[in-house]
Amino acid sequence: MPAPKMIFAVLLSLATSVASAAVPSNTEASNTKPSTSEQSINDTYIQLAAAVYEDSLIAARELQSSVGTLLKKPSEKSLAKARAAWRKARVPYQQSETFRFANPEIDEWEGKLNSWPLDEGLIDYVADDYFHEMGNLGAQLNIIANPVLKIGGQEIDARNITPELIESLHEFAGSESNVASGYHAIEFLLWGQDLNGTAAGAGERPYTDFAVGENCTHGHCQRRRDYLQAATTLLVKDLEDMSARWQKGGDLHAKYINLSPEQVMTNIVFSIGSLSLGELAGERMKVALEANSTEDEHDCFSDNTHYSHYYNTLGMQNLFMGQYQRINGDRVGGPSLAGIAKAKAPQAFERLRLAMNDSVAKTNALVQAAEFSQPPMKFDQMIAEGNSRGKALIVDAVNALVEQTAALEALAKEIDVDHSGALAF
Amino acid sequence: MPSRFKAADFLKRSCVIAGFIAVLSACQSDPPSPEHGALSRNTPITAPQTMGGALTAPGPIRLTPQLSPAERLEHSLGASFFHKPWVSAPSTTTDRDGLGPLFNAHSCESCHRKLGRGSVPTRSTRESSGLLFRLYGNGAMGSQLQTRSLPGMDAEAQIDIRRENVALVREFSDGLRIELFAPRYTVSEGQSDASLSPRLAPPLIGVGLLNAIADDDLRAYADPDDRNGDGISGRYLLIQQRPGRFGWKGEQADLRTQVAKAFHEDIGISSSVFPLDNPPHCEMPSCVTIDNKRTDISNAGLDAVSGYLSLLTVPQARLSESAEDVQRGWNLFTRAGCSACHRVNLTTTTHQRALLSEQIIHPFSDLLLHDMGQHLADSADDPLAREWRTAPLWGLGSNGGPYLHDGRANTLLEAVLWHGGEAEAAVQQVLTFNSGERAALLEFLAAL
Ligand code: HEC
Ligand code: HEC
Repeated sequence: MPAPKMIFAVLLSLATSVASAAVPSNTEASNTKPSTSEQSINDTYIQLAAAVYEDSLIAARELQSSVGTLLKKPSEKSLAKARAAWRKARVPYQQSETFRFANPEIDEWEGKLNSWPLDEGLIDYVADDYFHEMGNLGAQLNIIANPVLKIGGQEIDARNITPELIESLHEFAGSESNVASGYHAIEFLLWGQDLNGTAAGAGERPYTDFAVGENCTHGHCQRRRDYLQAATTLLVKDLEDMSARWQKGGDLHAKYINLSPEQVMTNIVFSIGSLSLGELAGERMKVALEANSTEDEHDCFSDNTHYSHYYNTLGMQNLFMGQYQRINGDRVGGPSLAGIAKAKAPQAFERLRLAMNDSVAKTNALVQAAEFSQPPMKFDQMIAEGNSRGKALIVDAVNALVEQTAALEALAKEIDVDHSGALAF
Repeated sequence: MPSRFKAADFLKRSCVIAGFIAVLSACQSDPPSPEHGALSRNTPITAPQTMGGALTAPGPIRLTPQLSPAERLEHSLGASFFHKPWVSAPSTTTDRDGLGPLFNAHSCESCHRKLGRGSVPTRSTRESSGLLFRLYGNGAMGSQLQTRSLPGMDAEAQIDIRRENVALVREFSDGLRIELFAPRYTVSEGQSDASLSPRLAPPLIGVGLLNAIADDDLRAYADPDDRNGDGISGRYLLIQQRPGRFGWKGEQADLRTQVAKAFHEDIGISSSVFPLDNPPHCEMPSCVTIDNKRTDISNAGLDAVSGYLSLLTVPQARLSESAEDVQRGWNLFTRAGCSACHRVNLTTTTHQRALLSEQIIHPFSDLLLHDMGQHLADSADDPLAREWRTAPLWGLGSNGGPYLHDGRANTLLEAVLWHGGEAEAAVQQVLTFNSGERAALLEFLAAL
């Protein structure tokens, strides 16, 4: 992952002056209550993180139940429902992502859930025509087809595909891209490879890949079923853990109770800066565009990348503004960095506020093009060589995020929040 | 090698003068004029701390904050190819596939952790680490042992590591004895006929600056036959007519080739520089069928990674902290003759990138190879076995150990005491240091 996982947490010499400043209230974009003491920026941080991870858990449980239905009765319809549940599960999770950059505890954990790129050929079959190129090797690659895995001189007993097995395979043989679990593993199982390149269409795995008995397509259906079930179970378990860590008694809850407000501000700046520039604008958009890779995109099997980017962006705005709308519609929030910024450096604040609005608007334009234009243009089509409209949409979003980063750095400087970490990739 | 250490010669060569300010301003000519040899012991270091010129910055190694967000964005491709794992072909992420079939790791990052130094495995190469083995001789396995492979095929070998034998005991004049443990390697799986040269991933500090040192400067520093009789030779390998400077043995002369080599040998990623997908030793029936027509990483990709690495920050020295001890350590460092090899001042040539151009830098290395004695040798008979490139010492304090080419030294003191060969005289000086002096020297090193 390009984002460095460490915060260069140097405390600010002017921290005390920050603390003693009169702290203002509302930001225009939020309905949050006026803050009375700066300490409560910690509370807001905890509240937002707890809510967004709990939402991720709730949505993952819904995915788990849809997967249960799919496996009980594989059909066109039950597969479509499971896919829809997966998409919904991404909504809160992508908004949570901004939290990981300033928190090595989360960053380490999240590898199991959201690692990318995923070595899909290690999990299940990939397109036949590739096998010619691969010779004998191709057939031996994947876990679903092979009860005994031979990797780098190690033999792994994979007869029973359980959550424990999948967890133990995470980064197996000491290799960090040997990712066997998480959202993208499940995504690959639900959609299959997207063989359409930069043309329209996502993965087209038939529901019969999960059929029992004679209807089974592509072989090893029972193992594929086991895999999907195990990976979903593991996802739920991992989210249960993270969600609990933000509740009272959890380590991350305690961490943020004890951090100084200045450090919380530093973390917010670091998080937003890292996700904004290095990860989202850079890794996930510019690299995809520049490499002109057929599908160097984040949610590549499902063609859900536009939403993924949009919710990432929204997550950053949430954190800055100290607000979050839960999946049930409830709003949570409180005193925010935005509030402090507005009082101390109104102009710099205004620049950032507008920049964030613009980023949300420009990533929303990706969503509009992908979902609602006629014909829809998905992210993988936008990055295709020669697609000038697609390219312009992405470049706009990238530029908005660059401006957002510049505005953030300018603001941080002005209100004496250490932002050196945010400069890193 | 002369039997006696002559401090004056070292001082002359290494341009040691009163503190770093003077180092910066007056020590750029080479060779320095003799007056610069006068070492004033009491001048405090008022610390320019600009180890890597304009790229110097406190904090972790990262893309330089000198660049604006828009400029930093230009380096996303390089950063991505360095940090993100590569996957096996075929993959939906076509631009990142091509891994293997034999390799050492999935990404550059997995050895150069956070752009810093790699770790050594505690027991065997089955663990993920930053240690790899290069091979002497033209054996079936090529020039590097690949300890990973795609599923369904065998890796070349696994190596077990033990560190139970005392190889060397160093004794200080005040009676302190330090036992030094050498790692022993045994092939535990597969086979290897060639002799092994273990190498630990070095921190990627200032590689763009080192790349911008003029070839002629290195030629001028070299003294292969020790004409000046100071006991220090200094050679380089000629790599396509250019002096080598990268890697523990200076086996690559320019950064882009070093990067291409890393992709090829370490990850199994082919490029225009090293076009064969499989190392030539791949004999398994499965790998001969792999299509070699396509290169896995483009020229633009190589440029992007080299460009990214070139503009990483160089950790700022902390030479003003507890200045007195550090100052004393600096004096001891030069007095012992360390800077004969750990050259303090280098200047980069003109470069199209201002951040790399004509920068006065303090890598504490002459980038040359030196005979470091039998204990550090990695093979019985190879002529290169005793020769190692002077390890740059910048960033020493902010990156942690383990030290030396195979990570055998857990502490800075151990690293120093392992020095032998041309550096034996310097070590003998260090062995006369009392505990206060030892502490001061180590404090100085840790402040770099
Ligand atoms: C398996 C571990 C490993 C991986 C993976 C790896 N390296 Fe290295 N790297 C090393 C080792 C060991 C050395 C020293 C090599 C030598 O002495 O020949 C090194 C040396 C270097 C150097 C020279 C540094 C200097 O100061 O001389 C550069 C630059 C470099 N690597 C870049 C890369 C890049 C770029 C990648 C990814 C394409 C990469 N490395 C992947 C282990 C690794
Ligand atoms: C003859 C040249 C020479 C002299 C003199 C010399 N060194 Fe070194 N130094 C080297 C070389 C070559 C290496 C790398 C050796 C290896 O890795 O096997 C090295 C490595 C080191 C390292 C470990 C760096 C790392 O990144 O692993 C330290 C610390 C060090 N030297 C300190 C000193 C000190 C202190 C002195 C003076 C007492 C000294 N050196 C004198 C050539 C020299």
